[in-house]
Amino acid sequence: MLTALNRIYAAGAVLAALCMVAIALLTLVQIAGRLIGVLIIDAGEFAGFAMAGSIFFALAHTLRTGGHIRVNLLLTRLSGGVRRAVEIWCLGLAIVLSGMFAIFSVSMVIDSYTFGDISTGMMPVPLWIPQLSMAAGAVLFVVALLHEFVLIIRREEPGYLAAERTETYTE
Amino acid sequence: MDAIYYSPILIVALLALLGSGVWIAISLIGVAMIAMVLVEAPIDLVMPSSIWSSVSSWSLTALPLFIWMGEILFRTRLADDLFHGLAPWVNRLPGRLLHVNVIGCGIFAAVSGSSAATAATVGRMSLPELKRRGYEEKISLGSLAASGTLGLLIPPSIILIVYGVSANVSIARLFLAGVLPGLMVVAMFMGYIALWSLLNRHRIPAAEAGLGFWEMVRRLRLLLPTVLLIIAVIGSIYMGVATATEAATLGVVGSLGIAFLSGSLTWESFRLSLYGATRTSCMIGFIIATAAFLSVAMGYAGIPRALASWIGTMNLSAYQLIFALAVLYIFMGCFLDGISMVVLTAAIIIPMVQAAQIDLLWFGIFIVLAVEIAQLTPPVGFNLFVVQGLTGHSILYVARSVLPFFLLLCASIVILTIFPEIATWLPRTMFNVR
Repeated sequence: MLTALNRIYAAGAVLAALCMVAIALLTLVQIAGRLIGVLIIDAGEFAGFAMAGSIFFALAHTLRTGGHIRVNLLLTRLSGGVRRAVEIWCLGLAIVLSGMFAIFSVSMVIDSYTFGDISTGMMPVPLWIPQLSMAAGAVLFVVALLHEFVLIIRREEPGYLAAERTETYTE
Repeated sequence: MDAIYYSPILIVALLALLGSGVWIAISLIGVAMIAMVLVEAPIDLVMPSSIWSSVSSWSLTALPLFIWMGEILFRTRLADDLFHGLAPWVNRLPGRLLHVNVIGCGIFAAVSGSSAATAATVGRMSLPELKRRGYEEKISLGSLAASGTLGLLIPPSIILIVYGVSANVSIARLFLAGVLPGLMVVAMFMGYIALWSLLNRHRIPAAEAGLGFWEMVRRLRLLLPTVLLIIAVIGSIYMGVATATEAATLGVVGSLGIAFLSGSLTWESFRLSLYGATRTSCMIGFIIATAAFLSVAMGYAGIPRALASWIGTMNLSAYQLIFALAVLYIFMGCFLDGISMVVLTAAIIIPMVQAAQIDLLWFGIFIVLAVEIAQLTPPVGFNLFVVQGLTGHSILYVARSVLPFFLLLCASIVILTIFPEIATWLPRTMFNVR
């Protein structure tokens, strides 16, 4: 079960990476189009959708690999039971808030679908399609948080803590 | 209940969440939720729509691409080439090879938008080399940690993209505004190193045997592709032929080309650079998204407006306000990372700054300098962490070694405030903005 989950997070990361490549390709097409005098419509808008995808699909994977930053000034000074309690608080709160984010995102996509919202570009796209990345990514993020929560309850080491031990600073 | 009464609740909540180690993005959601609940605003509608519209935006697409560009070049031999290309040229200057830290970081900053990555890349190569040659560790650590912060100021800059997107200021213009202040800081750092060396002659190793002029030129040639790429990226923005995103795409293609030519482009390194960039841009993008929700929530609660009018009643001059903000930022910078500082600013402080009729373009550069300082202040200073990781010295030792450079950065804020044109002149001369 847990390996299957890891595969899903990894698949999300692949999707996110592909979205990032798509941003570069769309921009290249736009530049090329301008050079040869062909107007490429809505490349900017699609790049924006890919941007959203590249963030939301990667949320779970980034969590598991310790990529989301936090202030661990106090945390690193704690150890044993206290440390574990604080980590449980962090994860628990994250599950509640991200859970609301996931539920609201899903309901926004459903609304977009029912009301037939379309994008504002020259080539109208039903908005629920790109918005799906947010709903799916948010749900997957909550799953990953629950996964980490289960690990810490079972006194195993969550993925983000293992990664934070060998931290590389990305900012 | 009035906005003035909410503010303390929200500040305490923010500090409690961040302080207890809750992820920054999650903390921002939490504070936004509290604000929305207090004013009984519709969370279920506002939250997903504000988050969606903040990241599904074309202007933000420059962010992952510039991160990717840095990740690609990070995996080439660039750090090596920087050291060997620059070292013979600065050998005769007072301070000798210490200048490699500053110039090397300045050049790497022009291909990477991150301060910690800049310090890590240059330092990985230069710190062991400097130590082997007998340079005093304190000044080589200090100059490296401080010069790394140039990654934030010299375009492309991740933090300027975050500011531009959050405060709705043109990223292209912000990039150009960062160029001269960046060069000014380079000059100040090099000046300090030279002065320090003249005063402490015995603490600097003797000059190495000079290479022939043509050998020096030959070594510099290694850097040529990178320098051309820098000129192409920044030049295309300056000439108005490319937007920030297009320049970033150019940067990605160019750096893939450089990696290919130098033989370091493998499927593995490509994959690693792509994933590294995806993770970093996901982390930053999530913070930007949640900060956008926080901004809207603050707006519902009326806090920025209340704050702006409260500041208005105090009749501060622009200088007094800037001074107060500088103190606030340097204090915040001791505990917070740069991205959070910028997004919190956009959510709360921008309306106040606008009310005081401070130019938002200039203010972006001001914030970046403040964030640079924040990277150097313990207990939370990312560049201190990087140098700590590279050398194993305690963070307090690194912080002490960086102190003179910290003061120079403070001085640069003062200079920028007295002469705002250092930031605003270049964007004004920019060619027709598309």
